[in-house]
Amino acid sequence: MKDKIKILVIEDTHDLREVIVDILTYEGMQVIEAENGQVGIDKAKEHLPDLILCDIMMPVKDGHQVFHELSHNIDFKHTPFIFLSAKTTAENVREGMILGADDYITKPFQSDLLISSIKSRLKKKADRKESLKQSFKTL
Amino acid sequence: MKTLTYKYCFNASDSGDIKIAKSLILIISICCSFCGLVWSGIYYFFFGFGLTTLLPLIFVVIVISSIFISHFTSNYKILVYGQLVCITWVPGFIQWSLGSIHHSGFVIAWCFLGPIGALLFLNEKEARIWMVMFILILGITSIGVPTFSMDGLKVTENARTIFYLMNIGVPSAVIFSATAYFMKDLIKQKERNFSLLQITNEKNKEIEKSLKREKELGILKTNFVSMVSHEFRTPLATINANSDIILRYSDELSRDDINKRLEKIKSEVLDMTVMLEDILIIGKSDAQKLDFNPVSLDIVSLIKDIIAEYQLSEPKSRTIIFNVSTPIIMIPADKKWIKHIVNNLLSNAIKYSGEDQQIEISIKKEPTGISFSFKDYGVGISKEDIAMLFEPFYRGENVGEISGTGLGLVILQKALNLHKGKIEVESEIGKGSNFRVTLPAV
Repeated sequence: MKDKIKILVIEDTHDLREVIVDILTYEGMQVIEAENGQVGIDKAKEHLPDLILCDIMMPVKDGHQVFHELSHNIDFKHTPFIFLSAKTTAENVREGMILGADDYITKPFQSDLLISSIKSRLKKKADRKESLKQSFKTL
Repeated sequence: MKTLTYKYCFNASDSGDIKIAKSLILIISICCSFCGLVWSGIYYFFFGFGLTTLLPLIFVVIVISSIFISHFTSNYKILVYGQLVCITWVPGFIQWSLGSIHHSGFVIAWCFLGPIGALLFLNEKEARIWMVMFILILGITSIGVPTFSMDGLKVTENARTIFYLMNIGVPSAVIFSATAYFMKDLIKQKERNFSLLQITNEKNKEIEKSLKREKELGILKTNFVSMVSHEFRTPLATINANSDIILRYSDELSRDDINKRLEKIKSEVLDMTVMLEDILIIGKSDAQKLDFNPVSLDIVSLIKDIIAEYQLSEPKSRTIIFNVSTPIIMIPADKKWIKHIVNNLLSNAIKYSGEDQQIEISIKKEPTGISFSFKDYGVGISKEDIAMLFEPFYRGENVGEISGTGLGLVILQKALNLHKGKIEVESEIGKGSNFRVTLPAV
């Protein structure tokens, strides 16, 4: 059986985290939860998720710090990273994208948008992997 | 004298300064006339009637005529010009008639100074320069006068001294005093200007300060609005996501699951409503619009009633230990706000401590009023968090899943400000917190 896609959800608001986990679970994904930035980094290193969905304003370590730390780790070089934040100004979004995130979703979000964003990032990752495989074969 | 001055010199339209100037010129004219008459008398006494006796009389006639002409033509400057002619030329003629023009240059020089000084005097701005010049020339004149005895038969030393006293001393003394008066006026004017400048500077500083404050308030307002927006977005996201689940996966959801999600939505809406009410209170307090109607009441029984009421609404009862030093303590307070303060402190103590942990409430009479404290043995607050506790939407690092808006203590602080009370917090992580409120008796 093919392994389920692993998504790491880093969100400090319990109720919201719970409902995101439910949505992704209904979509057939395996979800790992983290209640703050530090726990998120630890769990990412432990589970090596396929995609990371991360809030920005959080205790202990915020979303930017999480991204910074993980993007310097070779294991997460190609892991799609999506910010999910209540910081919604154009500057906030630009800041997140300049950091190098793959997407920036603002709260409150539509579940469709969240799912399609996650799926398209995963597809892109899979396509990239496939093209690399092809390149190796050609070589 | 005053009537005379008014009759001969002043016009109804003259300004205060012009009236003073005219008066001074009149005084100088009268002094000079007096000098002329005395001078004529002295000459007559020593030498009999002659040109030297007649000239001072001509001098007097010119001065008096100038007074009358200036009155009829309503031009006080004629008086000044009359003065100029008399003081400048008459002593010159006297000197010349005495046959000693050779040594009288300094006298003529002075004779110019008097009326020129008077003219300058009319131009107030030049008064200071005139003063300096006059003093210098007068000094040089006094020191540099050689003995007046060229022919040895005309003027005695005494007559010469009298001549100087009358023609230089008296008018110069008058002009000097008048200038001093104007200088005083100028200084006063300058002082007024300076104080006006100071007032203007202070006002400017005040305006700058209020502009700065306004700017800061604007920034605070913007920050607050963005904070509010942020705080509303997360529960909205939860509501939205739960409704999406119900709509999207209704086939896979059990009845209980749907109900659970609907309950969650309802609870989030309720939390948002509470938060909205709290924000409205903060908004009102910032605009100084909070209702505050203190009446004298027994704070001990009020706190006990509020706590009893709160406990009735709570599903699980908690052990509350009361420690009251005096059965009745009367203080002026607003019942509505005291209820807010007590409810907030009690709900925090309950929320942030274990179900089996007791809460201690003590009420004490203080020399200046009363104090009451709520002590719990719960999660506690770190020092860093205590410093930020009264900032809107701030919540401690260790609150975990415990719900809250981060506005309760902000409103509590506002309620205390209305009562001129204060709050102190003692806490240690893992050991609990003690919130002590002090309210003044007056």
